[in-house]
Amino acid sequence: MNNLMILLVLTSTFAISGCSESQESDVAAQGNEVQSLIDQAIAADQLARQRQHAWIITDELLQDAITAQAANNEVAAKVAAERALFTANAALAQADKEQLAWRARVPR
Amino acid sequence: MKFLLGVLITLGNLGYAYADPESDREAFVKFYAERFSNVDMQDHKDGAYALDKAKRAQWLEMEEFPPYELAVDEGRALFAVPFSNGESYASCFDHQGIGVKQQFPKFDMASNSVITLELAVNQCREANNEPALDYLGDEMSFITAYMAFTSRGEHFDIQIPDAGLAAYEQGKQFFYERRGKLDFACSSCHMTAAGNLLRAEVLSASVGHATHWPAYRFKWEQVGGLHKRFIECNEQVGAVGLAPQSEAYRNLEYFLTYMNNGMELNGPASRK
Amino acid sequence: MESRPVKMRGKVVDGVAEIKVLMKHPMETGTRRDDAGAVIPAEFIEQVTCEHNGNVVLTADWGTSVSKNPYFAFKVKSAKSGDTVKVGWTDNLGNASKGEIVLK
Repeated sequence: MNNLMILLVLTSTFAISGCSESQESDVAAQGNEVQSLIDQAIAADQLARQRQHAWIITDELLQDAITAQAANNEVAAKVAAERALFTANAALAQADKEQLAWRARVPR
Repeated sequence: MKFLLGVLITLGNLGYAYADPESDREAFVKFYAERFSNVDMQDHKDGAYALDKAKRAQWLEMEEFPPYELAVDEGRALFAVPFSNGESYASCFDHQGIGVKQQFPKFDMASNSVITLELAVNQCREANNEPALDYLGDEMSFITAYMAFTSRGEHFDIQIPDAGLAAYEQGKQFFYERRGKLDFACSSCHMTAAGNLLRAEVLSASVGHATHWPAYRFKWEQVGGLHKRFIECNEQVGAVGLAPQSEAYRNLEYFLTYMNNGMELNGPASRK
Repeated sequence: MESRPVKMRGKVVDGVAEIKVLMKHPMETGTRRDDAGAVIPAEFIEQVTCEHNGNVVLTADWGTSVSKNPYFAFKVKSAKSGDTVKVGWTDNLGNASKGEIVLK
């Protein structure tokens, strides 16, 4: 029991000390995350464009993300980037699904 | 779950034999004949105005003095102007370019692609060392408006050689494929929902879609081509529009015009 | 300045002539901007004058609310075959044009 207590105290000490990272590297990590999301969204959108299935909203959201990022509004940038990635992937999913699904609509 | 869906879709499509274009067209026309049993098939060239009496009355009044007349006059004048090298549009087309619009789009074996009237106009210009016209610009619209006007009363009889089947199938896929954030296909509005209201407008039937281009749209305050409308439709469902006269749109026009074989040409027309 | 035709159609029904007019004119409001951001100057029809056998029967004061290539129709009483109907316009830049038909 005693050993368990010591283990608990040591673990929580490490956990607490681990949490005291500096503010700056938190922001840097967040900034990298936003950039990564934007890059992924752009890549997915490019793929959708090649397949002629791109959605207009993806471009609008990417613009919002980039503008927010430039204004150092990391929270808004992340939200917009996540949405842009979502719609870009949705456009690709639509292109995949429609490869077969269109045939069902042809009158016979 | 996805796998099961895939299996079901595949099983459902086993009944889909690779139909030939003529069977496709017969089924296409039959759909509209049954949906609009009280509308004469040829009347669908007037689009939504064949389906709504009140709109038709307003439109007929407009047709007594149509807004596209100015465009046709300009086109007639532009068509007659010779190129710097002395040649003219007349030298590039059958019958001096008069009454030829019903031949387009056609499949060109040499380039293995679909040639639309607009593409042919620019090919004529480039062959004679003239700069190409902007497909979305006024000059192209005026010239094609005049050429369409001279083809009034003709009927479509588009041919699809074996080499053109792939292009036809691609156009067909585009027509039935959902796109954009709204996830609509051309067929969603112009087949499944044809005759219904979309906001305040009646949706027209695709069986009359190729006959009346280029069209004067009050929205555009000018005459514009079919590909301009394709771009607009795609953007309206949230899909990024493709370039005018891009391969996908030319193939779509090929499919659509073949589906309109036998229909009378009535371009240019006025539309809301 | 290239010609700005005034196209006219007219028919007499029971002594009343129905005249339809289509005028070529850009009708710029002066509030639109071009792609470079510069304002497109205002150019719109200010006054329309209609004559029947040389007598002014209608004048209209137009402005920026009338759209491009205006179409308009009007009726003239006591009209008969052989009468002349003329429609003319002037715009804010001092340009003018007119059209004329003889009723059948």
